[in-house]
Amino acid sequence: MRLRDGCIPLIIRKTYTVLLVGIISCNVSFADPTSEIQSLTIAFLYNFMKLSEWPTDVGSDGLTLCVTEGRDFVEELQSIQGKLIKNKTLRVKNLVLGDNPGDCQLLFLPSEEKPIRLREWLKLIEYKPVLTVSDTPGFLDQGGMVNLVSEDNHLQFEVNLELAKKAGIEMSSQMLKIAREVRGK
Amino acid sequence: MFRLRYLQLSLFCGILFFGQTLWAKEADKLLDLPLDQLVNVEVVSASRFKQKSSEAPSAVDVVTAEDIRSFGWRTLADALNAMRGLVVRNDRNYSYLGNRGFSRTGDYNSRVLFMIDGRRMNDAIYDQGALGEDFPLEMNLIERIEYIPGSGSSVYGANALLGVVNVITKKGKDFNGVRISGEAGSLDTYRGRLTYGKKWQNGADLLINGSQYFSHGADKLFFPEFSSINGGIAQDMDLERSSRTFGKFSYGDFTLRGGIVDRYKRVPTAAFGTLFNDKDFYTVDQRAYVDLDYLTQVNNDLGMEVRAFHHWYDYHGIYPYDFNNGIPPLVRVENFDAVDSRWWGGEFKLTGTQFKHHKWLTGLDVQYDQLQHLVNYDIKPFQSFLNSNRHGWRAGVYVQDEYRITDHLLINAGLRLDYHHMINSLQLNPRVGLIWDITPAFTAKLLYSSAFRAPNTNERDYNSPRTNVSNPNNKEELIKSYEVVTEWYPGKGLKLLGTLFYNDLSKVLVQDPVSLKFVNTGKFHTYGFELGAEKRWGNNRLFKLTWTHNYTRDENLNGGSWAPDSPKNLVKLHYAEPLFNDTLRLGFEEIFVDDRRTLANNIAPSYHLFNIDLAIPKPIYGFQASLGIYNVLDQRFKVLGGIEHVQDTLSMDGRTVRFRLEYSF
Repeated sequence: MRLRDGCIPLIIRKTYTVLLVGIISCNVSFADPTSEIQSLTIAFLYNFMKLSEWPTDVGSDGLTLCVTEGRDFVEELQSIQGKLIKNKTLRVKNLVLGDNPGDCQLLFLPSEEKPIRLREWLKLIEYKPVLTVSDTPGFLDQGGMVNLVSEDNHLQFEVNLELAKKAGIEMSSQMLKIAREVRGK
Repeated sequence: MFRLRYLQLSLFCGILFFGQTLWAKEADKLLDLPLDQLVNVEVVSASRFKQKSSEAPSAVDVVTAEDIRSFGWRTLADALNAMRGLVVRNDRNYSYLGNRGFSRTGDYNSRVLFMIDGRRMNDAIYDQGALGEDFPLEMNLIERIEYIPGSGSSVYGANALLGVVNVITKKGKDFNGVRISGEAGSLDTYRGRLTYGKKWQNGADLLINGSQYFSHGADKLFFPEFSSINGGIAQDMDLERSSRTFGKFSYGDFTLRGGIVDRYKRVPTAAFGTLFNDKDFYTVDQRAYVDLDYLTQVNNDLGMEVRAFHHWYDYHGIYPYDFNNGIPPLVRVENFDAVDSRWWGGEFKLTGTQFKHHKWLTGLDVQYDQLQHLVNYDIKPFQSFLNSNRHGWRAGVYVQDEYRITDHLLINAGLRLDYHHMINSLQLNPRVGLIWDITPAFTAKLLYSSAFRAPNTNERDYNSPRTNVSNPNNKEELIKSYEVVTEWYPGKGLKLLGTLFYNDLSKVLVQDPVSLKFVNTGKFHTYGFELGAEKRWGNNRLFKLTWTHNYTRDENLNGGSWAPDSPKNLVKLHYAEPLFNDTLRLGFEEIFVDDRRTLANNIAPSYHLFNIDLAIPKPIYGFQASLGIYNVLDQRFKVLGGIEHVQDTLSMDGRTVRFRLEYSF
């Protein structure tokens, strides 16, 4: 009944051939690890928590990593939920506007966060021992502690040590060594 | 049909074989890496994060895969019907979308742009957006649906008059294995579905889905307008069959997508002057496409997307009618109506952040309509009424810049120039949005845009003695839309929304009832407002309430009067409650559609559509299930008949039930 009988099935057959060839060829492995930016960002945040020390009275019942609503990590966050860092259980919390970020040990402010909201979040935790991390360009100038910076398809980071110290957070020498830039050494 | 099934089967076998050995948990592996190695990890499929909806130059509405699970939407039409300002009408042949009070019977969704992962789906014949079982995607493949109301020609070109619907698909890793799904429901409705998804260590991701759908529909449908024939009963006339396949394979910066849908529908309404209760009255729609997408980050400040696509759309239908037009004796003649089309092209897009406070975007779209073939003839005695061929180019260039003037103020401006082979003049369409963050929790937007739609091949070339006359002289239709949007986040995740809108549609293509030609005489004005409240809890509880109030005036009706098929009020309430730690989920959906004026100047009364869905949303020993009860109140609500129907209104199905069982391994 169709005007050109068989036209569509042929195309689909071609598509599948391409797909199957793709599956076979993807067996090849590569030397340099690769990752999607979401997973990589979470891996960084997880490492920052492992390599930082908070005042002794903080986080006695576990460590909390907070992410504001700007970015949708969903599964990536689930992968670190419940992990142990120095015998403390890691919790993940999504913050929405109006929540109190004071209970967080690390607060990630995604670059999608609007400038005025970013400032609002930073104001709420001023002088509190909360490690602030963002991938917003110029985050250190705006009063943040750790800035994730992408460079040639890799993620690097910069640290404002002075600010972290003021808040009572100690970063390990290892973390400072890897940082691209450390302010207030 | 047979060949399709065979292909699906052989494909799944192949994938299962390759899939077994390759799986590794990528995320866990990454977490084990020390910091000094993390800085060496290369980022793939570079950062194109979702724009925050509060920064988008529109009042975007989004539903997610979780919502689809909570409310048991069976088709894209169900999901769109749940969204702010939209209402779906089904005439037991196709589904049609009305937007903020504007809807034209006899139109096939040509004024909304439909996309799958950013690829345009409206076909090259009717500009049709398929919403029902003729849409290429199964609902289980949908990650989220974004609806961007207002005109969007400044980026998307033609057809984005009333809004843009973008359906974003899931990835293979979202399934991570095989999922078998079976459905059974009222009116002898069945669906079987097989999905396979996998992500490999090297980042390659595959998703493949095949499904079959069958619905017998109501045994007997009563149409009082035909009470002289078979007592007005259309017997076994609502049958529908559909088979679908969709595949998506990503590796590195490349994504290859392909979809095919083949759908048969028997038409019980005796539309287009056909014989009532004739089982040979059916339509078949076959849509297929492949889309190769290359999305990369050239450097930190420059992103690039290159895309190539090829689409096919075939349709045919048999329209049995009385050659003697009601004067005895009855001479039954079958009219064959068909289209055959294909189009291909490419897209090139650059996004940049080099300049401080600016995010710019520029692109070029090219499409070649290679084949736009329409035929219509009587089979026996053979008589040809139409055999038209057309082909031609479309191209568009666009620029857009988002400029953050101050921390509080953002301006989003775009401009697009279009060439389209169906019209003579170039089209230039701007969009300007001013986004003002008054406080961290309160945003106001001022928006203006314009858009165009070229006549489609159907409106230009279609010719049939009983229904249409071609018109080589029709032109593009235009819209200017103005909108004010306010968004307020008072805390605890609650989002409140208010909009005020005005749409000015001119030179609208309408079919003249006398000449039967599509002419640019339509003129419509819509003004209205929307209020909305939405809250999502971390445990998948959801509350969402929207109200759209509008008035659409058809300037040609009685010198300017309330337009047909335009409900003045639409209210939608959604509530999902997770029970027993989200082991069970209960979803309530209530949709109120107000009175509509019919084409015969009667009133199609308002109705409430109340649906309940009970689901096991997370696998228990691999099993998931859902039970949906649709139209719980058993309302025999009515939708408008079009110019092609004798019926002024068409009664819809009453209460139906669907049960679905899924098994993953």
